[in-house]
Amino acid sequence: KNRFHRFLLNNYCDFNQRSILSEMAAAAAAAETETKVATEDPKVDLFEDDDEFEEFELDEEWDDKEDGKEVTQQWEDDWDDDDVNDDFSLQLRKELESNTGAAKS
Amino acid sequence: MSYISMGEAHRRITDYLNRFSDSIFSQDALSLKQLISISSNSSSLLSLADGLNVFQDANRLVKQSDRFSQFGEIAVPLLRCLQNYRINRLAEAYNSFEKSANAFLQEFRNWESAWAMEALYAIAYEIRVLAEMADRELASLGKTPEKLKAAGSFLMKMFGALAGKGPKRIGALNVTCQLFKVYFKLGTVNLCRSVIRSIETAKIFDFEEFPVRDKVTYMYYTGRLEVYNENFLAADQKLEYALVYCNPRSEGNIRMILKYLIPVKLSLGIIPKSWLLEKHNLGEYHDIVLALKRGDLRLLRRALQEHEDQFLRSGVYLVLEKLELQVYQRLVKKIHIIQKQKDPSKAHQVKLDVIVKALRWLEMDMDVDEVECIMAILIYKNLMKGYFAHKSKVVVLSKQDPFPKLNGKPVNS
Repeated sequence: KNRFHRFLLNNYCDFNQRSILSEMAAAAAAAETETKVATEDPKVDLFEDDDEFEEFELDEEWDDKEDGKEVTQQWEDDWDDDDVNDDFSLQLRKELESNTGAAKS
Repeated sequence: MSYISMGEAHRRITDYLNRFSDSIFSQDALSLKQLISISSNSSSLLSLADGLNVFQDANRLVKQSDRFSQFGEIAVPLLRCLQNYRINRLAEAYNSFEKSANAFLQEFRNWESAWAMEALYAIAYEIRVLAEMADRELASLGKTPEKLKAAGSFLMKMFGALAGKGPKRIGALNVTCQLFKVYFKLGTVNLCRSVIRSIETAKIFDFEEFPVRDKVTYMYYTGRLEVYNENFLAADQKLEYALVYCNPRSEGNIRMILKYLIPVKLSLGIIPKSWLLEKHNLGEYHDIVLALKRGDLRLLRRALQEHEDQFLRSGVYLVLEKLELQVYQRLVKKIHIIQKQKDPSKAHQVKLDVIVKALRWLEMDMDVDEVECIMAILIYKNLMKGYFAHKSKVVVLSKQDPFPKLNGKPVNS
C-alpha cells in the first residue's frame, strides 16, 4: 500500500509536498546529521558535493565537437517500438495466456 | 623542512618580492598567478616557505624597500599565509589569505585594464580551496566551520568588482562558477539565484563572450539546479550544452554531466545507448534503462533499490522514481500489442484483470481499484488515449496512437 501511495504522491503532489519528499530523501541519504535544513526551495541539500566540477586549466583549449554526429549517436529516441519478440515480452505473453481462458475472448 | 642559512632565507624572500613587484610592473598576470597560488605546492613556494620559517621578519624586508612596500598590503599577509599553510595552520592561513585577497581586489579595481584577470581567477580559486581546508581543520577541532561561507562573501565582492561595463566583465562568469562550487558544497544552493539573475539579465553581460570553459561550468551547475527543480526541458538544454562544449579529454567532467543528463533524457522519453553508459562508467543506469525499454516495473524497483544511496546523494532519486509512470505505459502498450496479435478486433479493449495479472507476475500486488487509478492517471497525463469503462472494468483504447510518445517533451504535470 505504501508503494501505491508513493506513486500517487509522485504524480499528484504539489510543490510543497515534493519539497517534503526531497527532504526525506536527503535525510535518508546522509547517515550523519549533517544535512542542512532545506530552504523554501525543494532541493536536496548536501553537506558535501560529490559532483564538483573539475577546474579546467586556464590554458586548456579544445576544439568544439567537430562531429556533431557523435552527439546524436549517444541517444535513442526510437526505442519505443512495437517489437514484442524480446525475452521479457515472450514471458509476459506466456503469463497472460496461462491459467485463465480470458485471453481467448 | 631543510636547514638553510639566514642569508639564503633572506635571498629567497627578496627574490620572491622582486618577482612579485616585477610581475605587477610589467603586467604579467601569469607570473603573478604562480606567485599567489598557495595551494599549488610548487617547489618555489615551498622553498620560500622554508626561508620564511628561518627569517621570521619578512614584514621588515617589505617595508625597507619602496619597490616592495607599494604592494605591502598584499604581499605581507600573503607571506604570512604561506608560512601558516606550510606548518598546517589552515584556519590562520585562510585568514591571512583573505586579508591579502582584499588588498589585491582594492588594487585590481584601480587598474584600468583587465591585464591581471588570470591572477584574479587564481585568487578566486585559492580562497575557496583554502577555506575548504580551513573548515576541515575547524570541524576536526570541534569548532564551527565558517571559512567557506566567508569565502563566498568575498567572491560576491569580487563579482561586484567585475560587474561593470569595462573589459573586466569578462571575468564575471569565472567568479560565478567558484561561487556555485561554494554554495553547492555548503548546501546553500538557493543563494545561486541572485548571481544567476545578474549573469542572465544584466545588459552588460553577453553570455557568448565569456570563455568556453566558464560557460561549460556554468551550464553544468545551472543545469543541475534545473534537474532539482524538475524543469526537464531547461535542464536538457543546459546539460547538453555543457556536454557538447566540454573538453573531450575531461573524462571526469563529462561523466558528471552525463550523470545528471541521463535522468533528464529518460524523463523526456529518450534513452542513452549502452556504449555511452559503458564508456563513462555509469552502469547504475543500465537496469533503469532496460526497465523502461521492457516495461518491467519489477526491474525498475530493483534498480532503484540497488543504487539507492548513489541516487539519493546526487539528488536524482525522485526523478528516476517518477519514471515508473512511463514504465507502466510501456507495459500496458506491450499487453495491448500482444492482444492485437491474438485477436486484432478486440485488442483495443484491455481488461483490468489482465493488467492486474501482469502486475502480479512482476511482484506488484495491487488490487483492481488501485490499477484503475493508475490507468486513470495514464490517461490524465496523456500517456494513454482512451477511456475507462468503470462498470465492466475495461480500458477502451483509442484506435489511433493509443500510447503517445513523449518525443522529447516531459510528461504532462
